[in-house]
This record gives sequence, C-alpha cells and structure tokens, in this order.
Amino acid sequence: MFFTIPHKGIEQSNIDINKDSIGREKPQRIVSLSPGNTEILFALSAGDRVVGVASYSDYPEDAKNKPSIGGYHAPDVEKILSLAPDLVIAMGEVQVKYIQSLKRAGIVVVSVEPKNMQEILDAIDIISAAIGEQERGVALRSELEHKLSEVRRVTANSTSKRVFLEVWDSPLLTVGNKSFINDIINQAGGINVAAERNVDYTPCDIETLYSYDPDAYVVISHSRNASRAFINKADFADMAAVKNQQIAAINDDLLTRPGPRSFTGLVKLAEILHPEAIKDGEIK
Amino acid sequence: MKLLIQKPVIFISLSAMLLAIIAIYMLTIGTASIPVHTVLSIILEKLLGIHNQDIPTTQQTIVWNFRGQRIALAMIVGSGLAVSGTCFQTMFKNPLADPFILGVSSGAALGASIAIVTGRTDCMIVLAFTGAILSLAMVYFLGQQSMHNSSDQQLLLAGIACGAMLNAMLSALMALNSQQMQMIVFWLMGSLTNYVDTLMPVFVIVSIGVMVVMLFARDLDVMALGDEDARFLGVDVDKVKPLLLIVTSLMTGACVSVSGIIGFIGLIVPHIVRKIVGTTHLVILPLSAIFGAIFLLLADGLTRMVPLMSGIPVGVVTALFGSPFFLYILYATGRRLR
Repeated sequence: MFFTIPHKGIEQSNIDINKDSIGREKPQRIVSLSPGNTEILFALSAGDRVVGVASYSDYPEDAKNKPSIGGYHAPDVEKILSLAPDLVIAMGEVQVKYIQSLKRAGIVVVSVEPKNMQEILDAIDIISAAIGEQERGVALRSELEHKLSEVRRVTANSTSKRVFLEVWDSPLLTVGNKSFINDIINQAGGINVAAERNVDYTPCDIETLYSYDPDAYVVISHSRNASRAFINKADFADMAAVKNQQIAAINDDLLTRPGPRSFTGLVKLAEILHPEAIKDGEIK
Repeated sequence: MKLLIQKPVIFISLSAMLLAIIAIYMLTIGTASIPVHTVLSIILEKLLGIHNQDIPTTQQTIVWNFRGQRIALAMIVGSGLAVSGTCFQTMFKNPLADPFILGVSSGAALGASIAIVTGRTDCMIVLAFTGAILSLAMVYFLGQQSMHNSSDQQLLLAGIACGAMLNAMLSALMALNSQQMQMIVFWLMGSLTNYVDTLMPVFVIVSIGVMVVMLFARDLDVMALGDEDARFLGVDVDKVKPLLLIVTSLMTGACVSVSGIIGFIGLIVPHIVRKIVGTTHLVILPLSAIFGAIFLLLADGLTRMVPLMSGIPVGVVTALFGSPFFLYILYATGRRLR
C-alpha cells in the first residue's frame, strides 16, 4: 500500500490519508527526505521512530545523530532502502523520480511541500495522520495557529512596513512572490518590496534596492555575523531603513525551511517590523 | 568610412567619443526616474565643479555612486576582457582563444564559490582573484615545460584540462552545498550589480595591463606571423610571451573577481575589430578596449532598459546577443568572400 500526495492537491488527498491510516500499525521506521519534514516529525514527538534524514537536518539537536540519506535534491535511494523504512516523508516536485523509485520498491511514501504558512499546517495534519500521531498533530497545529493569530492580532492596527529581504549579499539576492518567505513577510504585517517579481530568489541591483527605499532591511544571516558591511556603507545613509536603524538579521532556517520553526521566524519578523506593537517575548 | 579606417587616429578618437556618449547616456537610465538634465548637472558638478542647481543627495548618490560605479565597472571589465582576448588570439594564433581559455575563469569561480559556501563573502573578490592566479600558475607550470614549436598547443591543452578539473571541483562543491547553489549560480552568470569597493585596484590592474600590452603591440604584429619568424625578426618570444600571458591573465583575473564570468566579449570583440581595421595591433588593441567597453555597457544597459530582462545577469545577455551578432558578421564576411 502506498500513496503520494502532490503538494497542490493537499486538501483532497488529505481524506485518503485518514482513510488509509485507519487500522494501520503506527510506522516504526520513518525516513525524512527534507530538513523541514524532519523538524515536523520531531515536533510531533516521533523523533525516536526516525531512522534516516536528509542532510542539513540539524534541528532539533537529536536529528544530527540520525543517519543521513544525502541531500534533499538527490537522496540516496539505495541507502533509504537499506534502512528498511515503513514510511518515507518526501517533498513534492523536486523528488518525483526518487519517489517513483521508492514506490516501485514497495515503500509507503507521503509527500508534502508547503509553499506558504497555511500549507505548513496542512502538512502537519497529513504527516501526523500518516504516522499515527493525530492527537499530537492537533495540539501542534493549534499551538502554531495561535502564534499566527496572535501576530495578526497585535499587528492589525499597525501600518504595514515595506521590507527588503536580503537572501545573499554578493550577488545581492532577494525574494519574489513565489518564495515561501514572501508569505511570512505578509503574515508578519510587512510588504515585500520585490513582491511584483514573479519568481523565487531573484538578483537585485543596488540602485533598485535604493529606489525601493524600504522601511526595514532584513538579512538572512546564514549563521554568520549579522552586521555585515555592505548596507552600513555611507552610500546607504539616506535609506529609510538605515535612518530608522531598521536593520536586522534572522537565522536562515527560521525563514527558508518550511516547518514548525517558520512560525518562530514569523514572530521574530513581526517583532522586527512592529517593535512598537509587540513587547519583548509577548508572543511565545 | 574608408578614409576613417585608413586614418586610425581619427577612427579611435571617434570611437572613444561614442563610448563617452554611451556612458553618459547609461548614467541616465535606471530604476529610479531621474530627469536627464538633473543627471547632466550632477555630472558637471562632480567632474568640473560647476554648481548650477541644488540636487537632492539621494539623486546624487544614485547617479554618481551607484550608476557611476556600475558603468565604470562595465567599461573596465569590458576593455580588460577584450584586450586580453586580442592578445591571446594573436599569441596562440588561434581564433577560438578567449581570456578564459587558460582556466582563469574556472579558478576564479572556484575561489568565489569557496567564499560563498564558507560564508566569507567579504573575502570573495580576494579569493576569486587568488583562484584565478593559482590556476594560471598551474597551467603555465605544467604547460610550458617544452618550449618548442608545439608549446602553444601544450599550454592550451593544459588550460583546458585544468579548467575541466576546476569545473568538476566547482560542481562537486555545488552538489555538496545545495543550500548555496543558487548564490553560486548567480555569481557564475556574471553581474555588474554587486556593491564593489575594490574598483580602484581593478582599474589600476586593468589600465597597467592595457598599457603593458600596448608597449608590445609591434612585437604582437610580428608574433602573429609565427614564433619562428618572430625570433628571426628579433623578438625575444620566450620572454615576451610569458610576460604578456601573466599580464593578460592578471587583468582577466581582476575582472572576473569583481564581475563573475562574462563570456563572449573577449572572443568576439577582437574579431569584429580586426574585420574593421585590419591586423595592426597598435590600432586593434585600443579599439578592442573601446569596443569591449561599449559592448558591455550596451549589454548591461539592456538589462536596465528592457523590463523583461531586468532579472537576467549581464553575462547571459552578452552571449544571448553577442552570438547572433557574431554569427551575422561571419555570414556577411563569408558572402563577401564568395
């Protein structure tokens, strides 16, 4: 028995999952094919049943000790099979051919690839159903929904801030509206200045950045020192974000990796954008 | 036209004027809409100190610092690559030679990628330059061991082999660091939009490079006949060639380290210039520099003028428009010969 949920049809396929899962033993050997899925599995308290993870699965700490099955873009099918999983949690499009190989080998594959905050919640439903942790799933979902609604509540009366999100400094990259991060910005009461671009990551030249004149400049830190030089140069002194000292950094995993921690990233971003509305640590 | 080509000084001066006009025109183009007369006032004020109207500092910053830097970078890189290309094609007597043929670009790309995956983007330019120089040193050391007639081929082969190895290492690095893959890819496609604070050193390296190559223009004329003939005519090929190789590769390395890999300029500009003015290097070299600068300015201008192309790196544009243009030139010359 196996089933695959294309990420676009999450709603309908959801029903099949629940039907299929009824009367089925809880999977005991789970392999996760993306760092985000690993985080969801651990958040559903299924960490001890995870026997293999994609590389970069570095959260929570315990995930680092799990055997790696290679990068998410090229998982090692043979290695996965050798782990004898009874469930593989995969991504969508990018892993289609690997999912096919696994299914041919008779492995149960569930695939989720959230593209926005709502789809993370849906992915949690799907995964919790597939691993038989529905109760924990409901709890996690409502915890995260609470964060989302709290952020919406406290930012409701604030004016939206225009944000430039620096994915990388050289070459300078930002996010268009196809990116998952674009949705986090919107939910956090911000407006992505590059939202008119119909792409995921996209290069941006200095002049365009300057003429966007964002209210806030948020750097994805890539675990580096947050105060990187370039925006602090004298040439940018006239930018609103620099004048108002609205320059901040957020750890990349909180923004780029769809999972439970994306909601932590959301709260962090909301705190950066609306310091007047949110007191320190108000939203837990 | 014929008269112009027979009087190279006039032709070179006219080309230089064309370059200046295009450069000034490019200063008026960008995402921020700044009126042409404001741009001209800013240029007059910055260059000649003539103050005729009060201009907001933001507009001054955009025109002089951001656009100015980008245009300067385009001109420096364009001329550096074109002059290196001219030099390589003559020295190797190979019409396919371009500034990247000795693996300089692969070395630079590897250096830049190491900077990206280790998160040290502040050292990116230095690492890219180091990579370029190390790969050149390796190619030269391995390739020049036999200094006889076939040493050119030897060097080219060493360059291609070394480039293949470095590219493989680059691919491996990208596969192992999939999270940074997009950043590396965008760097590889070449771009003039980065905030570069090492413009001056690059400018110095490229202008010294162009001057040194110009000093050997007559030697290059002779070397085009063949190394044996050149020796016979009194050119110390064994000394001149290594010197020029090092100078041009330093230029290429400096250009690649700030702009990423911008292909095609070093290949087609020299050919176009030769088709117009013949084979005298004293004329070809300065014209290559000027046309290289013009070509890259126009390619970069396209990415700013055509909204559809705004997300496309300039290195892609040069190949996209350079190739058909070059093919047309080949076609036209072929027809004339027939």
